[in-house]
Amino acid sequence: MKKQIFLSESYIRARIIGIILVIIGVAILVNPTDLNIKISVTLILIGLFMIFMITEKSISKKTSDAQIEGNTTIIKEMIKELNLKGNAIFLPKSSTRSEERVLIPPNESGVIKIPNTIYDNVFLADNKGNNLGISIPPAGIKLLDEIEKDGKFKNAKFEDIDEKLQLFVGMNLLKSVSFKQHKNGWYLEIEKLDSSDSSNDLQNQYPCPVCSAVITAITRELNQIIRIYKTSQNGNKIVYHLNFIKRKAKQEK
Amino acid sequence: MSEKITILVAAWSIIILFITSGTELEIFFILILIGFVAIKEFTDRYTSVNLKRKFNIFIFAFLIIFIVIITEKIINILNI
Repeated sequence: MKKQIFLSESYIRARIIGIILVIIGVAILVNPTDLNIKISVTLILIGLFMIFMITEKSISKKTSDAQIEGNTTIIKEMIKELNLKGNAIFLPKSSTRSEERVLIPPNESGVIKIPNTIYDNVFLADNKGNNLGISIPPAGIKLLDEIEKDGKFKNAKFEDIDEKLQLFVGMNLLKSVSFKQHKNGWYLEIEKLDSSDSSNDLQNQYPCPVCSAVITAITRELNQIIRIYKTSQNGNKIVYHLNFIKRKAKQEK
Repeated sequence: MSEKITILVAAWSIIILFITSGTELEIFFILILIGFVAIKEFTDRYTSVNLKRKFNIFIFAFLIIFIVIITEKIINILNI
């Protein structure tokens, strides 16, 4: 059983095949003609690539999704219990906040009150004690921190964001992602790997971890407040209509 | 992504091996290097920094071979 699990990991299989190719490559070098050197270099090259490039341990998508599901379920329950109707507003890190937060206001339309200073507290209220919603860490913030160890998503320009977001595709987290400007604001189009995990009924308020990681990445890059204006979903494709709230971001710096 | 890059590199190396089977070793190494640089450029936006760093090591190794080849050619031309 242990042996089966050991061999089922793709990186271990790749490493074994890689070592075999390197050994064969070195063995061919015993008779060093031009053709043999070429064959040997090719084999050693492929072998080394298999050993050093394929090194990531993998777990099934179902397992990783199940790990995240628990936390998001609690947040969704909390949103329902508190009867919050507003769409999510992504707040960048600031001198008063240690990390990016998602503000979910109580009202769906009309004037959205964003407190001048939001600390790391969860429940927000104004001076009179009126409920201003909740401020919680985005579902995908840890995921983003994990894939962004080199500070890749910091202080970028608008035109660079779409290109930088392609890292999510490269890491097999999404099928495709695009961030483009339209008449009414910015559209973030996300195509997930499969439609099974697209059944989030609170995409406007608390997007799924990967979607949340993408929006948080944009917030981090531009250091601006982003509001989800509305979302539309078609199968495994989700389109987020985003608005930037610039003035407040400057106030909070 | 690392799997796709490995497949691309393997395919490129094998193609070059067949194409240059009757030619000199230098052409083989230079074509491999060109392929590596092209693959690096095309996959750059999809790869993590860690993967880029590893890929760069391979490119630098072939760059050293390329420099050796060029130096040897220059020495031959100048008859030093």
